[in-house]
Formats: sequence, C-alpha cells, structure tokens
Amino acid sequence: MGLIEDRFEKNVLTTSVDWVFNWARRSSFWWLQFGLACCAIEMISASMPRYDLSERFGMLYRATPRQADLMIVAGTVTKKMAPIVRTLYDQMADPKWVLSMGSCANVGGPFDTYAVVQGVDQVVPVDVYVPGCPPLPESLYYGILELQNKVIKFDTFAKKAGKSGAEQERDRDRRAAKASLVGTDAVISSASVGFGTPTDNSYTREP
Amino acid sequence: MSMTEAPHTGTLQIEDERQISDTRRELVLNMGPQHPSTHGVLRVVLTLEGETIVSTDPIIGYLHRGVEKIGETRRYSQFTPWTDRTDYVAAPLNNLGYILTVEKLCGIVAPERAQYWRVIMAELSRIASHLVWLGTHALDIGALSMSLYCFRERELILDIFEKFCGARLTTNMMEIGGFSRGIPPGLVEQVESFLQIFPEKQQEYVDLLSANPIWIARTRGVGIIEPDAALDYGLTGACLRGSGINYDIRKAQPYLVYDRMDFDVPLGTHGDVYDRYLVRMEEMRQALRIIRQCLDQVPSDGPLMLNDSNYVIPPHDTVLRTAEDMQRHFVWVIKGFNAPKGEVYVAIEHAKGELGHYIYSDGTANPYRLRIRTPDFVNLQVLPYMAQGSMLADVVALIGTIDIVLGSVDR
Amino acid sequence: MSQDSDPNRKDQQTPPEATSAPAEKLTPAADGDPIQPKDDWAAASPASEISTADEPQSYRSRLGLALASDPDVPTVEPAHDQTGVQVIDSALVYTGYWGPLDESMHPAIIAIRNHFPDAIEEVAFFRDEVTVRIRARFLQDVALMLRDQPELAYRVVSDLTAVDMLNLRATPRFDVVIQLLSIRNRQRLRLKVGIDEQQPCPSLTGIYKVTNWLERECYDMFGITFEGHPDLRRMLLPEDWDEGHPLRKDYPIRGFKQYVQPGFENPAPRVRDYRRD
Repeated sequence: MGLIEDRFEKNVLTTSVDWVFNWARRSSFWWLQFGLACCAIEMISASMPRYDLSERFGMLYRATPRQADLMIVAGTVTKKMAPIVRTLYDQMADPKWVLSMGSCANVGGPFDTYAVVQGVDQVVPVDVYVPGCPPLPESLYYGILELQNKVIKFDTFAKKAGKSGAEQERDRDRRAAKASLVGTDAVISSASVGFGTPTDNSYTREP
Repeated sequence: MSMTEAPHTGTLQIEDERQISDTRRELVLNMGPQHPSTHGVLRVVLTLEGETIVSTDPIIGYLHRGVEKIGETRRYSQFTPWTDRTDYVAAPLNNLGYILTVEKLCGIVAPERAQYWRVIMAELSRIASHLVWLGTHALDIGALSMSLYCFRERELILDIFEKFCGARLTTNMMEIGGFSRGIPPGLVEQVESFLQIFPEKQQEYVDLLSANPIWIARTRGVGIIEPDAALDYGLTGACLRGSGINYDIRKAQPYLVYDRMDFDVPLGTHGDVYDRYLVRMEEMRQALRIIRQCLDQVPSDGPLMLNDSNYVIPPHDTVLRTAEDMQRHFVWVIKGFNAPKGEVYVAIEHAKGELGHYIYSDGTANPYRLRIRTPDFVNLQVLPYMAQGSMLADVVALIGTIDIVLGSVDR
Repeated sequence: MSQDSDPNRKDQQTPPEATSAPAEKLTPAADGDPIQPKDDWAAASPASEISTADEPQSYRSRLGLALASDPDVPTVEPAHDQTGVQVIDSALVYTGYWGPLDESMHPAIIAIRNHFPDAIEEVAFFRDEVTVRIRARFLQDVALMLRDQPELAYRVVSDLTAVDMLNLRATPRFDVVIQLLSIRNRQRLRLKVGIDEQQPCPSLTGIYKVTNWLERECYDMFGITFEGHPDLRRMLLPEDWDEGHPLRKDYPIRGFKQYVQPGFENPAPRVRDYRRD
C-alpha cells in the first residue's frame, strides 16, 4: 500500500520497532464474526473471492470475542439483542475498535420502531461509521482503511500524550464521526419515513 | 421444566446441569445468539442427555424490527423496500410477493413482458438464495471451500441485479403494475452468459459434495421428517418436497407466466438432510431451465408497465413533459391511491417455501393490516421435532437444512 | 392494459352460465370498488378436480375472461376517484384457487353448514377469495372437520394471524384470521373468528402443530390468549417485555421507551430526536 507515507504526522518521530508494532496491529485485524442482518451478507461477500477481505488485508474472523480486536456491527441492533452486543464488547480485550456498518447500526436505519435501538452507538462506542443500506463491500473497505488510519493515530498519540491523551483524542474522533454522519445517514433514514403518516404523540423522551 | 436465564453470551455456554434422578442427568446448553453456525441471531436452548438431544427450544426475536407495524404507516408503493429486508438473500422474491398481493387487491395485472422479466428475476433470486444456503450449510458441516465457490457464483447474479435495478442486495425492483424503467441494454446478454457459466459451476458443487462419503455420513439419515409431520407442521418448500409431497405453488396455483413454463418439481424420498440438499440442487437446475424458456419467449418490445391505471405510477417521460402526468405523479407518490376495500392473501413459491402476504385494506392509502407469512418462521418450528433423539453435532446440520434467514423469521 | 396478441395464448373459452346471482356477495368491497364482476365470471368450474395433465391449463383460459376488445363483451363503466383519474379495472377476478364463489356450491361451506348449522356468521367473496366468519365456540370443531373430511382435506394451516379492528368497529375487537390450504384440491380458504379484548380464542394446536408458534406470535403482538395452548409466552419480543402488545392500533410505532444501556456513561448523541414533535 503506497499511502503509508501520507498517514504519518509530520512532526512525530517513531522508532522502527514501534512502526513494526503499529503496522502489525493495523494490518491484521481479527474481527468478531457478528453479523446481525442484511449487512452481514455484504460483509460475508466482502470476505469471499471477489472482494477478498481476509487474504488481502490480513483480516480473519474469529467466533469468540476473546480473540478479536475489531467488532463490525453489521445489521440492526434490536432491544432484545443490545445487552448481548454490550457483553460481547466487554469481553473483547484492549485495544479494541468498533466499526458500525450500515444504516441500521449507524442510526437505526429505516426501522424507527418500538423494537430497534437507533444506532449501536447507544450501546458501544463506535469509531468508524460506514453508511449504506447495505454498504457495498468497497464502502466497507474504505471504512476499514479509515480505521487503520485511526489505529496509527491512536498509537502516535499514545507516544506523545500517554494513554489517557490518546483515549481523549479517540473520543473526540468518535464525536466528530457521529457529527459528520448526521448529514448522510440520518437523511437517508429519515427520507424513508414517508409523508402524511399519523403522528405518534405518545412517544416520550427518555427520563 | 423452566429454562434458567443465565447470561446468554458467547457461543456454547453451560447453563445448568441438573440431576433428575440417579440414573438420568440432563444438561441445558445454550447455543447463543452469537454463534458461527446459526445463520444470524438465533438462540437454541438444548437439553442434552450426554450427547443425545432430549429437547430443543429455539428462541427467536433478536432481529424483530416491527416491519408489519411499519406497513400500517406507509403507502402501498412506499413499503417495498422493507420487504427486501425481511429475507435479504432473495430480495426480488420478497418484492414480488408483496407486489402481487397489492396488484390483486387493486385488481390489476401487469403486462406480459413485465411478467416474463419478473419470472426471470425471481428465478435468479431463487438461485442466489440457494447458493447462500448451500455455502453456509456446507460451511457449517465442514466443507469450507463450498462457501467460497457459492459466493463467487452469487456475485454474477448480484451483477445482474445491479445492472437491472441499481442495487446488489436490497433490490426494491418490483413495482405495482410492472417495471417503470426499461430493460437496460446488455442485460439479456449478461443473463445468457450466466446461463452458460452456471451449469459447470454447479457440477463443481456436485463433484465436491454429492458423492462425498463425509457429506453423506453427516447428512444421510439425519433430520428425517415424516410426510404427515411435514403437513402438520405446515412446512412448505424444500422441507416439504424433501419428504415426498408434491406441492409447488408454481405448479399447483400458478401465477405470472409459470403455467407456460415447462419444468419439473424434484421430490425427495427419505425426508432427511441429504434429500433436501438434492432437492435444492435440482431446483437450481430447474430455475436455469425456466430462465432459458423465459428468455426465449419474452417479447423483445412491448409495454413493461400498465398505463391509465390509478394504482400505477405514471410513465416517466410524460411525467417530465406534461403537466397532467406530473400532477398525477405527485399525487400518487405523496397522497397515494385509495386501494379498494377488502382483504387478499397471495402466496408465491419463495426459495424457502410459501411466502404469503395478507393485506386487509379499509379503503385508505395505507394498508390497515399487512401480514407477511414467511416460510422460515413456519419451517423453523420443525427443529425440535427433527432434533429429538439426534446427536449434538447434528444440530448445525438441522438448522442449516431448514434454510432460515433471521430477518425473515423475526421480521 | 396488456392487449398483446399472443399466439401462445389459448383461445378464450366462453364462461359457463351462472346458476345463481352472487353479485351482492362481493362484500366488503362496498363503496370504494367500482367494478362489479359479472355473474358468469363467478360461476366457473370448481377447482376440486385435480388436473392429471402434465401442464396446468393456461391461466387465462381458466379465468374465463373475455378480452375487452371483443365486441360481444359489454364494456364496464370506468369509475373515477378523487384525483379525477379514470380507473379501468382489468380485473383479475377468478382463478379457481379458492373454490367456487358461491355459497351454495362451495364444498367447504356446504360441509360446515351441514355439520354445524350455527357456526357460520358470514361468508364473503372478494377477488376470487372466500372468507368464512365462524363463531368462536365452533372453531376447533370446524377446523377438525375441515381437516379430516377426505374430500376437503384442509391439512395445512398457511397462516394464523389477527387484525385489530379498533378503528373500524366496536366489538369484537380482534379478528383472528386463519388461512387454510388443501394440497389435495389445491384450494385455499380463509376462516375468521371475532375475538373480544379479554376473550380467549380456542387454540388449534391440538389439530395442527404449526399453530403453536403462530399463536404465540399472535399473543405477543396482539395480546390474544389462546385457550389450550401448551406454551403461551412471548416470542418476537423479549420475554420480560412489559410495554404492551405492539400491533394493536393504539400502540405508537416508536414505542414508549428508548433503550438505555446500563453502565455506558456517554453514548453518542441521538440523531433521530431532532425530528420529534
């Protein structure tokens, strides 16, 4: 990949050993096989012969969260499933990342109903949002490359400002990612509401 | 006996070991919602005695999204995207079932050319669904390379869908009254090339699995469904035909142009997993046959969409050029048409069985009640019946052979 | 309307004469439906004879439907709806998949009337479909009879669901709808049972095993209890869901509570709130 030079901060010096760790960590994501709905089929297609996610990117899916460092939440998170998502996230070992794939995992998708959590970021902290319904495998690739950038950024910040500084920067990145999402996915999801629907006045905000 | 509510996380987790009597010990095992072999978020609580299964309790609902409730708040023409998301491996078939129901309610019939293209897309979708089934089923049983082969062929079909309607997976391609956009150039050639390529690829699958002693040992005699039980459990599709009952909606109650097609319906004899595998493989071949006949018979020009009906979107060129049709388009999209009062139930032969849509209309623009009878939900009930007395290692084969997609089970 | 001259299509057969006048029986298509199908369409041959030919008949010939371009066919007056657009109904009316659209000829209705004279409240025909409304106390007996009679053989329940009639009528509140299928005759039938709010519906699990899960889902979504069901608990929603039954008409689509993950201090700001009224 010839884009490595552009990704480093210009004023940070890294040692060659750190660079190796950095490279290994981002180039061999082991993702938790956690497909919930339609996006799971696109995720599977992304790891199949035409778009070869496993061999080209060094990614491998693991069935158990203990061995995974990336959780790709692909599909709708329902209220019945949300505690399980959280438990799986908690079982993963640090450092861990979450990639929210698809409209349903970003903002709840076209399902603004009683049973659906409006976005997996209400349950786990999300680093990268990949919009689409379902996103093409190429979109998922773009999301994973962005995630690799974030891994590099996290490591370089950890050297500069320590682990807590890196965590704060990561938190800011998450907020920024969510803010930039409002223009894309929310519009797509809200446009599917339709017109002239009966107003639901009995929906209350959370206490 | 009551099921303990231990945290259901991870894959296999031992919940409870009970000693019922001095001679009998039962183990309750939770095959949790996150499991590599459950085809989605299905939870099965198994009660085992050693390695033998005493009872199973499938727990679903982890993907319940309230699609039927959404149907009551949308116009008839707006609801099609949600039908894609119920059975997401065979989206055009879902679209077709819903659109045929709305058309029957409104009392309209699509033009003949549109019906032929609907059949072509439906059969391609059937092949795509069976490829996903075969890939994941074989993956669960252990033939890892089968999943790679099947998804490679599925990409060819998804290319055809993308050319036709713009989307690979959630296609939203069927419309009330036909197709409002034309057939893109080059599509017929692409479908023809798929028909050339696929038979030899399917021969690869057959060479890999059908006479494979490991495959036969794992699937023969496993999960036998007696014909009477199949009818009692309301099974449809390959689960029913694998037990020898000849019922295919395309033959028994034909819709679209299936009565002009010459195809066979494969039937199994033993009702085990191997027979259902053979039935679905043969269904793929018959689907190719149907597509071949459709391509031969389809008129190369002619209307793809009804004209002059209140229930159908006005044609795009006149919408952009005339004021009257632009008004009609606006009213059709925003206000919707008032469907006739009444109720209809239309069932089509989905890849997994009988997909039925029941619409109760009260004369307004939204359905009063929209019910989607999915084949997976009904077919999954037979899992406890099949699993009783079988071994723990067979459970993944049994789940795979029913061919479930959890979006369709939970809606 | 497709008026292609298709050489493959068989010639249209003239429809047989009607023996009675079923035109009024096309309820509930009352004021919205512009087209009243003609008498001879409804009295086509019953589908109880199983065709032994390899190819099923062309469905257009089985329709007995005349072409609108045929000069002998009287034209039907098209209706207008509120948008001022003409409605021309190229009605797909009769396919024979539900049996004859006549109460005195339909074998299932005749059998129900013979065995249980009080069971039927109403029979409705709409677009070649047959709906029989049964009184709740007769449901199990009627279903057993329909299943076990060898000429009827409605061995399969395709679907069991309910409709909340809150906006349309006062009592009974729910309509439990059962779609039956006879593989032997290739026929379908719809049974409807009116169930009130606290009234339990007799369960069909003893007769058809498929209704086990279908009734559980009905209970989950509507709150209808089924008497005699071995294991009535929630199915699609969590078992400890206490917010009611979602598919009822007085239940908002967005539900009552949002999901709060306990122990997660700073979830991302919600996106959909901005549209709330």
